[in-house]
Amino acid sequence: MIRQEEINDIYLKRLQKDEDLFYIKVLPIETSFDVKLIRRKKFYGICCGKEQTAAPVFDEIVLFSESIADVKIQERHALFDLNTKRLISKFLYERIEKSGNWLILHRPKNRIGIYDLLKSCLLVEDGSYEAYNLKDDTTEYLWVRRGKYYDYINRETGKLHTLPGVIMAYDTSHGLFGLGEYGKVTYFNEYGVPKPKELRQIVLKAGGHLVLNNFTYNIQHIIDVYGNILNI
Amino acid sequence: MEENSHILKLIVKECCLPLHFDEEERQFSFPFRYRLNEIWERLKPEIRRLNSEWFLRDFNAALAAFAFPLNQTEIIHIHNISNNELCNGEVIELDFKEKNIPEIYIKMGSGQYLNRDTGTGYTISEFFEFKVGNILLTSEGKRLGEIRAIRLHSPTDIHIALGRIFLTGYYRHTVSSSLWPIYEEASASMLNNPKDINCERITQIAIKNGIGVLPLLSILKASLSVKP
Repeated sequence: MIRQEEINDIYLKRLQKDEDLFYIKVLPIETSFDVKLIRRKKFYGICCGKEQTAAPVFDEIVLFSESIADVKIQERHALFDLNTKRLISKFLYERIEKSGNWLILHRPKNRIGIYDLLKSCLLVEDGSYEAYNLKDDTTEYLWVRRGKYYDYINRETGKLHTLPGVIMAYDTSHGLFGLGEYGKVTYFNEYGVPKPKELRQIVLKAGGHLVLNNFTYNIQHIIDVYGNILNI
Repeated sequence: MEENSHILKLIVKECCLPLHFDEEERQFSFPFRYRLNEIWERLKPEIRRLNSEWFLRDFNAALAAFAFPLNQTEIIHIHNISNNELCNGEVIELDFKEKNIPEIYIKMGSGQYLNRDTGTGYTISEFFEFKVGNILLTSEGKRLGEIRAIRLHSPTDIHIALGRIFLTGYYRHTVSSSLWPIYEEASASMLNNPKDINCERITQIAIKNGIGVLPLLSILKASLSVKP
């Protein structure tokens, strides 16, 4: 298996070499999202208008939007930001695929990272999670699962919030709700501290019973002010 | 956890009957069917499949809990909570400095409470805060006492399992702004003819008002103090 450092070396060497090859004209290959794919010798790059955004040093390029592209070197993929003209991830991934408004970044051993196309934000790069909320993109936080337990990622900031002993997470437009191992739902703040008063207020505002959904697992729990699941 | 909920639901379904008023005992309950030992033998394989560590003693303990659901609450000690933070149907227990016995109230509406043991209704300020040291005054100026301790009675698996079977889908309704219709229905029958209590109708009113077994039984207990 090729190592990360080796790919970085190859990338840097190709950049260096590309500068030396300035006299060889780049060839336009195709245009999508008003972005032109170019080729110099056997490597691919990107041009926006007349400006070169990505030097032709990649083995393969797939454009996902006018600002984000999947670039490949030696069987490893990375994400490239066309606006900043920089790589925004390492060459960690075996493949990258689009799912709704997310890019799923597949790492070896079935681990995945995730990129939010709506917020233009790399939410998880190292891919140490096994499952994500990929059904509802309107939530303030995105739940992620590691084994039996769930954490949340703030979509706005990309910050990870580890919650204590949460065995089910929900797709809610606001806030962090989690089902604990003792069968009660807790409302947490971003530091993972339970906030029973806030939970009470949210449930009261909802009319005394609050409906929580996890659309990925097709789970609906209706809770009371104490976090008891009433429909279990 | 979820397995135990399934077991409790199974026990309620197979062992309990819908809400019933026992005139002799003067109590509302979900009475048991006959031949519980036979039911246990029949349920045993299914229960063991759900949780291999469930034995006859656990079955008996569950039955004991279902027999007296009002004693099965989870007690939560708190220092303060305002009237507006309580949901209708919630049960709050207060210790007063002047009284030796705690009093248990059910929130019936905004600022409206029903004493579970005496059946007395009280109206207090909407903005009142139940707080240790505060004096509980009714809107009529009656002093109920200085609060020494506050405890909330939260429903448990026992109430949730009973509610799932006998108050089907109550949680799909919002909790009503007034729970007095339940009390009025029960107390009117108590006043006229306790034999004619229509428990099915009471159950339907409870479902429409979005309340579970704990508030329902608490309100019904309060209605017992109405004598013909």
